Amino acid sequence: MSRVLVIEDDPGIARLLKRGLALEGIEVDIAEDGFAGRELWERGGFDLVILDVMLPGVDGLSLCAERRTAGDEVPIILLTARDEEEIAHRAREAGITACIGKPFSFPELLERVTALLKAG
Amino acid sequence: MEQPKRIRSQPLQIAVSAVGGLLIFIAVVGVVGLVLNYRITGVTQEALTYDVELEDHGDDLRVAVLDVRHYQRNLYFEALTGQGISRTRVADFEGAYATLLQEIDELEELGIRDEDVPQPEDFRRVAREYYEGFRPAIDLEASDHRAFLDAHEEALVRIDELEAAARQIDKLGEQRSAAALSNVQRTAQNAEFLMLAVLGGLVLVGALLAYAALRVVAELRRLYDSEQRAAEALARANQAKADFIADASHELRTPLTVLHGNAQIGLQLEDRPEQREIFEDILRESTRMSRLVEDLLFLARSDSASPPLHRELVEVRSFLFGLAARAAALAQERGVPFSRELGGYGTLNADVARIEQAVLIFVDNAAKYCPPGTPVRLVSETAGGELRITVEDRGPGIPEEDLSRIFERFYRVDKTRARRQGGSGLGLSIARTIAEAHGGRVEAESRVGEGTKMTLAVPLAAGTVPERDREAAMGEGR
Repeated sequence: MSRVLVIEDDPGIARLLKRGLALEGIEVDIAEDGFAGRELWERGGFDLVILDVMLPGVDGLSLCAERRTAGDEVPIILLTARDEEEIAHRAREAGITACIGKPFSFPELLERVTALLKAG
Repeated sequence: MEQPKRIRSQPLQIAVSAVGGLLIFIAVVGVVGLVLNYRITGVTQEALTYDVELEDHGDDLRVAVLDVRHYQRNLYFEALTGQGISRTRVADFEGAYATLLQEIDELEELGIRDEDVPQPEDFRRVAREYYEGFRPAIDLEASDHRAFLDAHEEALVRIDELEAAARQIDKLGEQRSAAALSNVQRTAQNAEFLMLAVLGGLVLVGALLAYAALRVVAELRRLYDSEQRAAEALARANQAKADFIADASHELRTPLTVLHGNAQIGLQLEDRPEQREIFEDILRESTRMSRLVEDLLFLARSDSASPPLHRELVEVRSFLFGLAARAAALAQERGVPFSRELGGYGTLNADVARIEQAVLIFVDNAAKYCPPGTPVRLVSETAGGELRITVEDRGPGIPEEDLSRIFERFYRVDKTRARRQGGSGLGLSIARTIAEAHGGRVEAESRVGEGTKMTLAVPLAAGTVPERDREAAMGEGR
């Protein structure tokens, strides 16, 4: 069974992801801020990380950059509310695998997740 | 608006009247100065030629009369010695008399214009009477001493008469030259006073002009400042509005995602028809709301700056094929027949996805409004350095009074119908924004009951415009 870490401070989005992915048989761990996310992520054992750009504590991009520097190669999906060029550029620099802008369609997100899990 | 106008005109009026006043003042002063100068010259000339000379001649005449009298007395004293009158004394007397006559001649030449004083001919007559009365008595003195003494007495009376007359002339000359001199002085004083007045006037006008100039400058500065402030306030308000819409749209994205995603998951879970309908409704409405949010966000960005375009160079032909394919797909989705007539040649430097979005908005509108079974037509051509893409329908058309407003946000010709069709009311506004961001434009042409033609025109990339657009026109309906 695949394990996915979701770092998302919006409880609606977090519950949606947990519910939707659970239906596909994917185990989901939720962290509600950057600090909790970092703690879980460092513990390891995830096949994929989905996180928001804007997070309380440590922001999504910095956290990703930090993990990549530490040698972690887990695929990362970044959720953005602002689809500006700048974020896409910074996301590439931070070593993020894919960016998905809100509002996203759940089936599309699921498709990306399953594709990345299969590849991993 | 009324207030600044009035204030602005005030210093201007002061400036104009000051300049006008200055010009008139200078002209008047110039004329007065000329007249005064002429008068001073005239008065001085007159005083020098006539009055002063008159005084001179009066003096000379008196001296001549006194000389004659002096030499007459000498003759008398010689006669009293009883030794007879010498020839030299007679010659002296004759000389003095000749001088007197000469002075009278000169006086006559001068021409006395005053009737209160004796005229030269009076002088000459009295002088001649004097001479003719006394001269023979000199020659007879040796023989008739008594007669000589009588003639002498008589002559003294006459010579006194002449002297008094000469004094009168002299006095007149003095009076007149004094009057002329004081006239010159007075005129000069007037001129001086006038010059002082001119200087005062110049200083005053200069001060007025300076004041007016200061007022005008201050007023212009004030107007400029207030306009600047108004423009800044307007820009801030616009920015605030755009920011607000952008922020609101961003904020809406997250709950929409939740709604949408949950509806999608919910659809998979339940098989009960009512619940399925509910989820389908939620899904449809949240899809529509998402589109609205994206449209609003695009327009809000376009308000504060030109919308972000990802331009690329693309061949018109290949772009049109791709566009036609997507338009056909959309028409099919809407169940509307579709035909195309693609023409045009050249290169576009454009955000292809945005141009396509604009044209598909036209196609979507046409498909919504055309009667069942009537086609939507896509026509294109390049002409005058631009690519024109037209979408035609045979729908009900747009009344002329609405035609100019259909590109406004949320403007709808038929409100109830548009709502039923589920549009956002922003489509045409977005199409226009896209066209204008590319330096192009949108045009609407419509006849009620016949149909509507919506055209998007964008310029071709510089330097790639073909010489003859139609030569390379593409075939129809490929």
